[in-house]
This record gives sequence, C-alpha cells and structure tokens, in this order.
Amino acid sequence: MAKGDTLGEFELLILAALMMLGDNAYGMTIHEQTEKLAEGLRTVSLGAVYTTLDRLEQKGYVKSWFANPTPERGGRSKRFFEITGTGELAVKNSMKLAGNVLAGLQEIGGLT
Amino acid sequence: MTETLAKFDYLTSRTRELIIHTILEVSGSRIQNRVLRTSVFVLTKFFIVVFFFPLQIIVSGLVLLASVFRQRVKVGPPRNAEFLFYVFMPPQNCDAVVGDLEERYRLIHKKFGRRRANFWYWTQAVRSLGPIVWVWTKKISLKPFAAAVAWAIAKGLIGHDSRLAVLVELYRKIRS
Repeated sequence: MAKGDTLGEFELLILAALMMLGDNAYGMTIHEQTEKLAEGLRTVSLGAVYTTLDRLEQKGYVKSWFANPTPERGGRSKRFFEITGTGELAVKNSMKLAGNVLAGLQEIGGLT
Repeated sequence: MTETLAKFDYLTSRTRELIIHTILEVSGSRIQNRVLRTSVFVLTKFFIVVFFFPLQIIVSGLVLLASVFRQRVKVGPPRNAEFLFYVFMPPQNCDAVVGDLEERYRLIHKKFGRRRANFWYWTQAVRSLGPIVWVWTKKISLKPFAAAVAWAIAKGLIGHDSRLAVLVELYRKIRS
C-alpha cells in the first residue's frame, strides 16, 4: 500500500456514503448520508462534499456522469457519482488500518 | 306666538315685532342647517357607495393578483447567493451544486414559505462557500507561485540543492 493510497477522514465518509447509496448517489443524497454518518462528530457542507468528490475523482476513486435536466432543479442536471474498484480497495485498506489501530489499542487496554 | 306675547303687556308693539322676527329667523336657520347636514350626509353615502367600495374592491383585487403573480414568478433561490457559486466554481460543478440546492429550496419554499427558504439557502451558501473558495484560492495562487519559482531558478536565486526540494513541494501542492 503506497502512502498516497490512504484516505482522509472526510474522504472515507464520502466513499462509505457512496457505497451505501448505490445508484441514487448525487450531491444532495450524498450530503444527507454523510451528515448521518458524521452526526455529532463534525458538520458537513454541500460545498465540502463536492470539492472532496472532485478530489476523489481526480484520484480515480470515484466516477461521475450527468443525468437529464429536470424542471424542479431549474433546468439543471443531476451529477451522479459511483465508487470505482480502486475506491473500494482504498476504503478496505483504510478500514483495515483502523482495525489494526483499534486492535493494538485494545491489547494494551488503551480503549475501555 | 302673538297671543303669548300679548300677555306681556308692558312690551311695546315694536319690541314684540322684533322678538317674533328674531324667533322666526333662528328657526329658519335651524331648518337650513338641517337641510345642509342631511344633503352632506346623503352625498357622502353616495360617494362611498358609488366610488369608494368599487375602488376598494379593485385595489384589493390588484394586490391579490400581484401576490399570486409574484409567487408564481419568484419561486427561485436568492440570486445573489446563487451568483456566488458561479463566481468560485467551474460551470459544470456549479450547475450540479446549484441544482441540488434549488431542488431542496423548492421543497422548503412549498412547506415553510419564501422567507424561510431564502434563509436556508443563504445558510447553505455561506457554509458551502468556505471549502469552495479555499480550493479556488489554492488553484489561483498555484500559477503565480510556480512562475515565481521558475523565475528564481532562472535567476540563480535558488541553489542546486534546494531546487529538488522546491519541485517536490510544488508537486505535493498540485497533488493536494
């Protein structure tokens, strides 16, 4: 696992939300899901969600496409997102890392 | 009246005439006043019925029409808040973000009205613009920074040992 493959806290949240949402993953639903996951721990803004999704797309963890414009969105199209295989692998690696840390801390009784 | 005045025998005929004349004049003006008051009252009522009520109906109708028209035309987020996204975001992303916000804005507008929906939109705009502006600033400041580094290397201000470090730092900035 190269150094750049690890995910930040917010990136992990977004990718987890994408995995949970499946086909219905666009800006607003991702925002809501991320807020649910981070409830009581941090605030999530729609702007932060989009900038992170852009970054993840540049890294190749996420792919996106535009749907047809709809009148309830003022004639603007939805941008749907989907996690890629590399993205899923990155999530797995991050979870494995978190699991190792947790196991290590539990061994010494650091977390009660 | 003349008979009544006849009881007062100590009054001269001239005085009696004067008293009768005065009484008649006063009662006459009272009648005149009453006629005047009645006609003013009738005219006022006439004016209210003929002009004021229809005018009131027309004005309230216009007000109602204007409010309905305004509601139909103005179901949209505050333009100034929307414009901020257009300033700091690339067009494709901007359309997606503004579309998402507008979708939710319309729901809130339907449930809670325009004022609360506008407040919600402004809150979202202010919260969202922080990270967007930060990314925009990084992107904008990267080019002058790269130009300054290139100029410094060309001028020999940055030595051989530090060139690699600067380039690595620049690469990390681009990656992040």
